[in-house]
Amino acid sequence: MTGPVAQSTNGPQAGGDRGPLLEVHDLVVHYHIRGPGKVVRSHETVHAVDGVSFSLGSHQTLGLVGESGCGKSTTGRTVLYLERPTSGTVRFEGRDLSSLRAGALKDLRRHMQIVFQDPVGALNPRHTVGQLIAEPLVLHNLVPRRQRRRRVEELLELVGLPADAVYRFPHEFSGGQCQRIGIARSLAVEPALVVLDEPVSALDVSVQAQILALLTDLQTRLGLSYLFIAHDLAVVGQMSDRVAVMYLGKIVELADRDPLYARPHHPYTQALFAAIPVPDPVASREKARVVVAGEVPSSLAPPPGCRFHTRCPLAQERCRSEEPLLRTVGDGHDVACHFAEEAVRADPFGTLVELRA
Amino acid sequence: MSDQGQGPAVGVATKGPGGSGTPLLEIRDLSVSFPLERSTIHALQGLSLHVRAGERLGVVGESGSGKSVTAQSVMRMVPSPGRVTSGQILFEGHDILGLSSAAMHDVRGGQIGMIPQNPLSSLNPVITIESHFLEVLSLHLGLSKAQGRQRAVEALRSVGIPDPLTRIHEYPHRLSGGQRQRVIIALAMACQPRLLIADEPTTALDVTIQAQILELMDDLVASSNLGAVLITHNLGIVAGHCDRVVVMYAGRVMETATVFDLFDRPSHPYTVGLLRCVPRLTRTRSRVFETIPGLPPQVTTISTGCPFAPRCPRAADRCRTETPPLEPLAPAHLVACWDPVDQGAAVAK
Repeated sequence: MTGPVAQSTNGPQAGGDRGPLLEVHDLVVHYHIRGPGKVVRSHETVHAVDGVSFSLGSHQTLGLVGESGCGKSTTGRTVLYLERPTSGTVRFEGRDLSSLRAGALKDLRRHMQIVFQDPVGALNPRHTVGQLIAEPLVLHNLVPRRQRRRRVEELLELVGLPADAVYRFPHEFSGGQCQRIGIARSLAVEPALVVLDEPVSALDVSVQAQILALLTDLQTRLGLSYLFIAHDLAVVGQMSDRVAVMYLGKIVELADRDPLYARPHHPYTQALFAAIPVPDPVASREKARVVVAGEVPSSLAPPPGCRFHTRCPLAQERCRSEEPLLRTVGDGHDVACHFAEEAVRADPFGTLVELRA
Repeated sequence: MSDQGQGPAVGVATKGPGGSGTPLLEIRDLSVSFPLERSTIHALQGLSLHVRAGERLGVVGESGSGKSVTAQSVMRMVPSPGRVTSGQILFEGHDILGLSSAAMHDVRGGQIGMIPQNPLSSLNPVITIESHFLEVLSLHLGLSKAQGRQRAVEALRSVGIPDPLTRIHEYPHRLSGGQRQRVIIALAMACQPRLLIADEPTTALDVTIQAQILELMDDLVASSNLGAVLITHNLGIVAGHCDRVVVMYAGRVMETATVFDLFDRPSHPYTVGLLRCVPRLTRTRSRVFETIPGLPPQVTTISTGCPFAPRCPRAADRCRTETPPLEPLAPAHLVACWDPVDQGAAVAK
């Protein structure tokens, strides 16, 4: 099928043999706060992302999961250089983004796009849907003016919206439809990589499933790579080939989807699984699972050693002083925990018992 | 219109429904509408439900289904220009729609506690936690400052706020989202209400904190024999933290059953579709997604026929012309559908 959006010939030379599409190495994003000193003391540093490394192959989906403040959205934005990292490198098709001038970066961004969490807020309410979808085409000077209208209609069809949407405004559409518009906008420039930042968390379940189905279909048809950012492990699990779990600015566990969901090794990953409400009244009453105590510490002063040690039932002296580095515990399964093997044996939150059930 | 679930609860109810004859709260055929300039939103269209003491009732539905308006109606806090056009809300047998404003003051926050959705905006940022408590405790129980302070410290301790003697003097912004929600729960419980209404109490919270808050609410309901209404869009929360469930769509009840029956033998095609859409950990990387086609309806017209008919795979002519009544399939299992899904049919788990 010659889809309305065929991979452009002048697009990125997507291909597995050239290494991963996206390579992130030791990414650090710190924000320096200079406040008057009443609420937030002056000269403090928010450790939003603290040394994150991962790679993403073409046609693949990497899920980035964690609770609010873990740095997953910052990671997503920094990957696109919408935000400059404090240190670390982002390579897209082998090119280091920090080495690019503004013009070259803009050209490269054509191949990397983002879909935002708030589907309505991401769209200018004064523009028609036609203008909104044509905007990236104009910006990157992709389609001659006369063909623009046709192209916009193709994109609308691609995301399942009627052609007459062109003349209408965002407020005339529901949240799910606005997210379709957002997706059409990001696909207008025929990207290779799309960062999906909580694309369905603002939507109702029935609509959520529609958008996930659409994203999956588009990935197959257009050969897209996704960086799928979400807080919901169940949604991430349905979308991802590989999953990275983040906590307080760090990746604590990184593995292929199936091994991670069968045997999470990091106590935090286990706690996250155990906290998810199970849509089964019998299983959820029989459950042996334990709710993790405490709250996420402030990213202004992350705990020394392992950042999860303040809430971890298995924490030892070593966890409080020595930071655990990501280490391999299985085929492509990396965990940042001194006692990962023990965590699997001890199963402190009853997670593994439940996942096996 | 059939009366709801007067028979004994079937299935394995973890907590018996109180045993008393009259329900704690009973909503009968309630309609609420919002007249706007060009149209009228019919938010509730003949809603009936009930809750007994010691029972946790889950109210589920998607946005626009009327869940929150239900809570607002019970508190008599439907925002303008919305108004109750018909129906009754019986709290312990008395219609609260007929109460004077003064009498309603005693009920609201006193006998009925409310946990609103957003813990960030539900506390007054310019007064201390203590002042929040003193206000309700003097209003409803006439407690002095010293008595109120003691009661507040106890209440904060009971919801797991560490070091309540110090924390009570803090302003809300000093607390995390989870702690603020704990404070709100403590406030709602401070006057020992008999009914607790929680409107999406954990939607703004992270999953690990959500689990803590839900566990806390379960404990409170169990220890004080409260009736609780838990409004949520999350079927996982319903499964784990409710005894009985009402499924709402377009301002109506589509199905109501014990939580076990609802998940085991969902009968309304909407319930079946909703359960299929729920993301599950057990589902692997999939290329196929179960969806409900179409969009939730606009409730600007009172529909003749079933409101779900336009999206329903089983819809027949009758579904588009005649509104199905809520009728019992089994004791305590009611469904508003002309052609309910066969109870024996397997449903994707």
